[in-house]
Amino acid sequence: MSLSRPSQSSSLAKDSSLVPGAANGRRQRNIERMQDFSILAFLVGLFIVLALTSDVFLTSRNLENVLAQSVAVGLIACSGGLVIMCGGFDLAAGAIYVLSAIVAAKVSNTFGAELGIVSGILAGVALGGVNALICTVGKINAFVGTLGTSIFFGGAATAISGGGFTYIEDPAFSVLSADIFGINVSIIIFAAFAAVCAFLLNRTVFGRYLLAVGDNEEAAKLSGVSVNWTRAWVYMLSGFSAGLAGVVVASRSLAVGSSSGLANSLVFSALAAILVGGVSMRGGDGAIWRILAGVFILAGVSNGFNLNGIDPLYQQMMTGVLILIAVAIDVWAKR
Amino acid sequence: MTSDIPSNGEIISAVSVSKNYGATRALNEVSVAINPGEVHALVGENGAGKSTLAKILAGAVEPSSGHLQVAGVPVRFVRPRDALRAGIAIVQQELALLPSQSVIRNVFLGLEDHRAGILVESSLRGRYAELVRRWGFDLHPDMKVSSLSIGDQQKVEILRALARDAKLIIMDEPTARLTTPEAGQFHKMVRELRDQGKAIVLVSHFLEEVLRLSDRVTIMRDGCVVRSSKAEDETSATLVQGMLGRSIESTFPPRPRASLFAEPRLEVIGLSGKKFSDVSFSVRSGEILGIAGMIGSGRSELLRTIFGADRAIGGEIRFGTNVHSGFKSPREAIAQGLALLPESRKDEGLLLSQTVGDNIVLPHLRDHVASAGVLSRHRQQDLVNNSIGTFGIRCAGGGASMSSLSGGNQQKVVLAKCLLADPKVLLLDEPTRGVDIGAKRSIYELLFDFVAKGGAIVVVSSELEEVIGLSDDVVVMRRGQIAGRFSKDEATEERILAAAFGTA
Ligand SMILES: Nc1ncnc2c1ncn2[C@@H]1O[C@H](COP(=O)(O)OP(=O)(O)OP(=O)(O)O)[C@@H](O)[C@H]1O
Ligand SMILES: [Mg+2]
Repeated sequence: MSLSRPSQSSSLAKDSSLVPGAANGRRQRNIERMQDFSILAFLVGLFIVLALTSDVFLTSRNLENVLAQSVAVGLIACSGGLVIMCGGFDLAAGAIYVLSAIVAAKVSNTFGAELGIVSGILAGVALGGVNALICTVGKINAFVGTLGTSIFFGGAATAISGGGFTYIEDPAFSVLSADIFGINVSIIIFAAFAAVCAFLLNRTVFGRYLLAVGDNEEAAKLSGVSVNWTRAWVYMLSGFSAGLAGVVVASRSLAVGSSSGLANSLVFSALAAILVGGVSMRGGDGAIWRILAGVFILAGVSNGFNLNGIDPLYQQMMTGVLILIAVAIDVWAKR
Repeated sequence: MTSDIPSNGEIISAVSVSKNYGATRALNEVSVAINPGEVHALVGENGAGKSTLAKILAGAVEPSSGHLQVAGVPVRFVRPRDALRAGIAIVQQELALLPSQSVIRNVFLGLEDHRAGILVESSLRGRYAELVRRWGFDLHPDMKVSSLSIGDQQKVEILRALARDAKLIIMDEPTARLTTPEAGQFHKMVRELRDQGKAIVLVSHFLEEVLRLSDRVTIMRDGCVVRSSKAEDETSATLVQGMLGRSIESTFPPRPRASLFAEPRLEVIGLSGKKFSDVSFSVRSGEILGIAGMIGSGRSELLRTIFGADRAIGGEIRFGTNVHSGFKSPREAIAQGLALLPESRKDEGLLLSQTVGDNIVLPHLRDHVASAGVLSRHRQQDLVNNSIGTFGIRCAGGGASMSSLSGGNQQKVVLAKCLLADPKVLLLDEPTRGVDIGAKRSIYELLFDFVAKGGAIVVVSSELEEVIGLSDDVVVMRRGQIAGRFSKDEATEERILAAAFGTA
């Protein structure tokens, strides 16, 4: 701060304890705390209910399974949440997931697993770059733009793979779902990626810019923030996570499908987790840990329905209700 | 303290009304009565509670305790519609219009005539014609609201109130965004409304306007009513004394003249953009250049273009030793030492859902807060606390949410944000809009301090007194071109107005 202090008389509010507005910040924080609390309480409550209703739930095998099954949705939800906080939207993450897994499989079959994995992830980043170009330089509405690329990438996946499954021949590819110190590598990757996203969001200039752009684009721009670059990086990050999710899942069965139904359900699951995690669709607000809580709540619900042998149809209805509750809390709390 | 509250006869009165936001008392046991046919002014510092009181009277906010009463009978307004039924309408500080719809649709929004749900357009047109004739407004019903000037948009809001047959129209800082001549028209309109029996509540920081226009003045301070008295019993000095609890000699602090030999800081040569063409001027270090003109004369676009937020079509900018055809982005301009205070704090200046601190440091994260992209909370806190002290921003501290600040305090945050990085040239677009008179003076002191240390300022202002009081030179724009240049000694209100209207 290089401004000198002005003469005493011009400083109007010195006694900040008397200043109105003090409690408003507090009220806002209280609301946020309540939101945080309600989501945590729900997660814990769910955990307890599941532990009580099923003997299998608390076994390490089941828990690890639930975690492993959440990896793809979790990866995509973390970065997809960032896209939404930035005022964008990425409908194409599912299609990128499918297409980059196919690229990884094909490259792996020609050049080996290492190159296959790397090229799958890079393909994700590149496809994210296409979204970035369309939604920034191309000035196309994010929803429309990524819907278009999603359909296009899905078509490309079918064209490249010929429609059926692509099998990965190099067994080294399965390193991504091997166990290390008794924990599945894919879970470690997921945890690491979530940590990186949280760090980016909370502790870096990039994170600040991302929230600024999502909150008020024009104000961000006039503050010297490059709106386009910020959004572009976020879309590429989203592509990266989708590519990563693609290769991780491919490493489990060493077989890659090309169905666009899979792509869509993945995007919607991720979106559901983001919403349950209380990320505001208006942009400018959200937290990674809450997205993770959203992911685990949905995964827990699904696991519970499975373990207790309840018709999955009800699970779908429950997910819908959870989303509505989470969004309603957000809207009502901020009124 | 003369708080004479005539019961009965009033359109509405507040009785010991308090409003708490969390633990903050925005209003503390406030009692006022608004009588028919009077212009009742509300004055007070930023954050004194004027807008809060206005919103309570209009049913937009409910009081935490106390009540409203109409003709001696207690009433409760839960939503603005209840107030409208009682004949009370509000024109908010930030206009609330549908920008992409026509004037007539805006005026009759919610009052549409329909038969079994099907709109009957023609009857509306008749009612509109009648309304405009009766009140002497001159606005085409099919104009799109976004294409109207701010003054005309305000008329749309007033028409909307009149269409609902309001007895009382509450106007929150209606002239803050008007140019001097537009404000003159507005004053005429207010008098006409009053002469036809309407009551007006007028929130304003312009004390002369208050004294000239109103019948009764209520002074507020820290959420309390200081006094409510007849306007003729008040003077500027007594109002200021009541509002601030102290007096100030004049709005403009003394200031030495700029030396004529200082080097030019910013030169604009034949610059053209979307809404202006062939504009040239230069500011030297230590100098303040004022730009006057009507709203829509291209002043804001000019500043935005110099700053790199809009593209230049032709011409050159000489900044320091560089000559080029305009900055490519605000980012580049900021890096070179330029800062812009944008015209609309809500649309261009602030992130309303983030904290005061995050807003202030946003443009300076890379250079002053972060190392290698990672933020330092300590550094941010120091910078922010410093700014809050320097600018006298009334808030709970750097962590307070931006949307909890009053209008004037938000404006101070935008200014703090601009000045934080020690820019070389400041581009200011309406720097004191909505700022109270005490804070205005402290902002002027900061600006004079800035130029005394070698900075240069280009300031756009619709307030003639401000342009004249601040500037060494004044440039007047009209329809995107420079229509007059005056030195400090030549710049008078008459000359500037004549140039702005093209009657020079
Ligand atoms: N929605 C809100 N949430 C929290 N605090 C609020 C809210 N609205 C107003 N306040 C607080 O109440 C106090 C009074 O604000 P108000 O807007 O009435 O001031 P004002 O007199 O209109 O000021 P200005 O001249 O700056 O417009 C301020 O301290 C403000 O911070
Ligand atoms: Mg106000």
